[in-house]
Amino acid sequence: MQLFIAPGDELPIYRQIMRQITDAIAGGRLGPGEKLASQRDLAEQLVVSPLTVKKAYDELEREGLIRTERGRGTFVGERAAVDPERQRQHLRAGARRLLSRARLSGVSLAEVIALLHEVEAELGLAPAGDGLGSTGGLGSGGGDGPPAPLSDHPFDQPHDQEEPES
Amino acid sequence: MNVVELNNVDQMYAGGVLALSDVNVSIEAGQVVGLVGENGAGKTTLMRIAMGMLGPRRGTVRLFGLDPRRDAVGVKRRIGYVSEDQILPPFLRVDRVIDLHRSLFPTWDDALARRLAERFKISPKAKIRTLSKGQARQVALLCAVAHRPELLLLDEPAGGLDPAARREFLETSIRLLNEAGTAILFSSHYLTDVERMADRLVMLHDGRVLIDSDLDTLRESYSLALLPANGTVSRDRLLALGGCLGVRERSEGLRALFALAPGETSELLAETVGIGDAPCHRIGLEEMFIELVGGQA
Amino acid sequence: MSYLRTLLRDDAIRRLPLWTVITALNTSVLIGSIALGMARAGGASPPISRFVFPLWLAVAIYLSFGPIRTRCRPLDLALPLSARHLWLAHAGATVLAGTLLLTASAAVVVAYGGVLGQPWTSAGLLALVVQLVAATALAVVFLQGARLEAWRVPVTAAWVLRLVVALVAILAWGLLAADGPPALALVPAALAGLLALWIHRSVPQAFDLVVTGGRGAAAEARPGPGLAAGAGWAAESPAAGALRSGHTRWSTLLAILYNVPPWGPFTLVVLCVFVALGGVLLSNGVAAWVPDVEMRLIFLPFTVYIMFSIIGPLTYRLQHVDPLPVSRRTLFMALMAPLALALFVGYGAGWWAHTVARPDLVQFHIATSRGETDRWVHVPPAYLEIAPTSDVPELTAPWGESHPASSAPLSRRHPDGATIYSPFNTPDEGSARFEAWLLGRAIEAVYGHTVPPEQIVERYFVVEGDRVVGIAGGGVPLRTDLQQLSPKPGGPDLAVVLALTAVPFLLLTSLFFTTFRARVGDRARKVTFWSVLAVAMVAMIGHIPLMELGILDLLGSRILFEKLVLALGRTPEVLAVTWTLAAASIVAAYLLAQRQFLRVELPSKPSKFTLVDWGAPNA
Repeated sequence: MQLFIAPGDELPIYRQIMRQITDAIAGGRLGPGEKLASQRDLAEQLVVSPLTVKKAYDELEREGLIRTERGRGTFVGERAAVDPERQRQHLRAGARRLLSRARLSGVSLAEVIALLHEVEAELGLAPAGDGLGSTGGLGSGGGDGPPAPLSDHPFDQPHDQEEPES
Repeated sequence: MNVVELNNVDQMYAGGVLALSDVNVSIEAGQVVGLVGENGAGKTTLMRIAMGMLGPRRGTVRLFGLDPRRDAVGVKRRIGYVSEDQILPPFLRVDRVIDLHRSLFPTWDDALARRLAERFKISPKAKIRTLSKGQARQVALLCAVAHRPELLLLDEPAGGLDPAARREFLETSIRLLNEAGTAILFSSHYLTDVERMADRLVMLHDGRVLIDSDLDTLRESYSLALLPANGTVSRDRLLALGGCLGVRERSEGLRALFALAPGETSELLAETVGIGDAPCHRIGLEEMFIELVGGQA
Repeated sequence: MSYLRTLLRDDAIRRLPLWTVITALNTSVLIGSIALGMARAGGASPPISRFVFPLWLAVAIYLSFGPIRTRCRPLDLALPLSARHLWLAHAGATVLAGTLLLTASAAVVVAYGGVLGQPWTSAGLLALVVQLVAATALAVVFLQGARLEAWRVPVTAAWVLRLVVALVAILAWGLLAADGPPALALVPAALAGLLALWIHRSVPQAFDLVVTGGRGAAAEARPGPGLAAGAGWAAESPAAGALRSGHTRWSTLLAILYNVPPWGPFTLVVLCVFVALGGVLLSNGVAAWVPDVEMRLIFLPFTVYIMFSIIGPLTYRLQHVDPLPVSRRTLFMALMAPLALALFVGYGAGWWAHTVARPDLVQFHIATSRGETDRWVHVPPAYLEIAPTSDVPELTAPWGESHPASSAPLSRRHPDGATIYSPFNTPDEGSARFEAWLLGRAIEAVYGHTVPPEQIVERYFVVEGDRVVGIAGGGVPLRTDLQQLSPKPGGPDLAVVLALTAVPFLLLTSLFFTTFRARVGDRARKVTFWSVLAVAMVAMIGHIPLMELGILDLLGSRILFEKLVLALGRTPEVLAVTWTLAAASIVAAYLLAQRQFLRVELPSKPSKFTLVDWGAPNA
């Protein structure tokens, strides 16, 4: 898969790499056990220092998302190897941001939960047959539910549904 | 043993101009150090001292543990050097220049040289003076890189090159890093290039080292605070705070750079000057440069 | 902007002070040499045409190397000045500069005339100058007719041809019109005016910035950014192995080092030719053709001057070699080698010429003028003597005949002081036997071979009564006999000459290299270089005023010098010591200069250290 980094971005480059890989794993574009580009190859592809790539990979490995096998390469870890505590911290931070914004826009908690179910469905993460929240049936504040997704890709959504990063 | 070690280096130019003042820089093998600073800050001087082309007025310079002026030939064999104004002899043909380097550097890798020549589309029979600036610089890079040096000294290597040529340059350097573990010291005004390539950043200002830090740490642990111009806090007061590196006064307010993460800056400001809601951002390298260099005066 | 203002801005005028100095010095050297030769030949005032050459040379050098081809600065092309205006201003400036240089040169000639007490008529000289000025004006206009569309005329075969024609024309006119009426100058002057008018009309509205053709233009024709972006790329990638050029490391290194402004690879060649010439003169190699070149001593500072003048330009390419792993000691050797080689080659060539031509060291001359017969024996200067007072010894033959020795005071100021005298000459008219005895003594002194006086009278002299009236067979028997002999060894000439040339040169070089430090500015370097050259040049021509003031006598100095050299070879021990000292001093000076070179810190932009500029930008 292809990564893209922007040097002038607020995030350091290694964090950008980390985030994109993390997102890809979460979104299913990188499956468990799939082989990642070697550090050197990735450095050459992205035209960044190999030490930066190393830092990103090391961090990801520490978080349990990927693992390196000597001589064989770097692979996406099995789900089970993910460190739940770290993930919980990340999620907590994300939840904090989400709820603060919701509060500012006057969106209630119930509406937020409904929104979460909708997004889950879009991402294709919902277990099949779950009646709750599979399609936009619940009245969310204003407007119809989101249109049918064009693809699984989390970024292939119509722009006005996209939550900007805060 | 460090690849490059400069200790307490002073350098003076004609007229008593102090080009470098108490400079300490050390580079380990495989590190990439970006050297930034305004024009005249001393970057080229530092490079030339590292090369042994200048002798420091005070302090010591060691490359691979050797004195580059005493053991000039031995040291230079392990270094590749590209400089913006180190032009190749214009009247020579490219193949002759490459031949010269081949015969002077015992670690010359001909296969690599040929690969690079093909990649850069260098015409060997052309005279240097018929090449464009970018092409000539690529020849210089080939000559500097093809002997797999342990240290690459690049003084504004991308100066005057178009973005495509600059990118080629970067790619080649990174490939060299991968293959040979070369340490790189490069100075550049293109801070995006520095952000891509460098692990460490050394910023020079008026001949002094202002910043010498890991690049990611720098990005994560520096922040810019925007304070109102209503006179509640003065510039000097801010500068006196521990961690404040520079303050710029603008019509819309004060911009203060701190060597602290945004949250910590916020807390510090709240505690010391009683402003708790000043926005504090992480900033990119270019902004940092401008705040620092502009804020020093 | 008025014509006058543009004219005054022109480089031809702005560089005039410098060129005036150069011209004055050139003319001095030339005139100095000619004057001495003429003075010794009799003192009669030479014809005016004799002076054409030095004056012509002044103009020739200026037209060949001066700022002639550059009509304006590229910046001027952006000003609201028409090309015709610029052309006319430049032509005028060049003519004016040429006139002033000719005047300066003539002034130097007149000064020399005064100093040496020669009645060179100023009026005649002035007329000559006028003629040459007119001819120069015509030549300049003719030259300015080249490549009217260019802001700077490139050096092409066509230009060189023009230049040659122009210079020959000036010389020819000078020789033809030297003795003619001054009004004759109106002819070329009028032609110059007409030609100028005609060309002026053909000058285009604006000059081109990009000029094709010639060495100077090759770099200008290079496509800049935005033009012909594809030029310079090869369409195909190089074949494997095509990266080899077949040159060795040192051939490339030397090709870089020796390619310096102003003439690229020829700079070193030209200057080394002069060094070799110096070597030839220092070895007295021209003695067979120009007897007793008293200037041998003067060519010591000349050679040092030329050698040092190469060092400045040779620093130009060091910046390319600095980052390479090449030992500085080896580089220093590479810089010194061509100079040493040229000196040795010159000296060797002179020595060989001397050996092959076998000049007659001892000659017998007899000349009659105004009823008086002069006879004298000519020997090399080393065999003349210097007495501390005007009391010179009498020459007494074994049979008692005695005459005073020929002598002349060393300094005109002190006629009773030290005196040069010849042990083999007398102003009196001695008997034939006496003269023969003198000649025999000379042959013995120089060749170590004894010939009894009677034999000399018989073989070499034509005797009438008791006096020598002629030399037998026109001097052939004497010459033949002498050539069978081999002269006594002359002494460690090479050691002395080498030491006196190399040591000052190396010391000056080491001084020059001390200015290559980061803390020393470019200006200080240039001032040092040009000052040293100026000092050397003063040493070259400084002898003239010293001679005039009576402080120095060239012949006397020469004699002392030669005697010293001879004395240093008298015994093997002294010879060995001399050689050792010479070698040691040269080695010490070399090491000193090398040490300074090892410490050199090159500036980021090299300086040129030349006055002449072909115009090719950093090619």
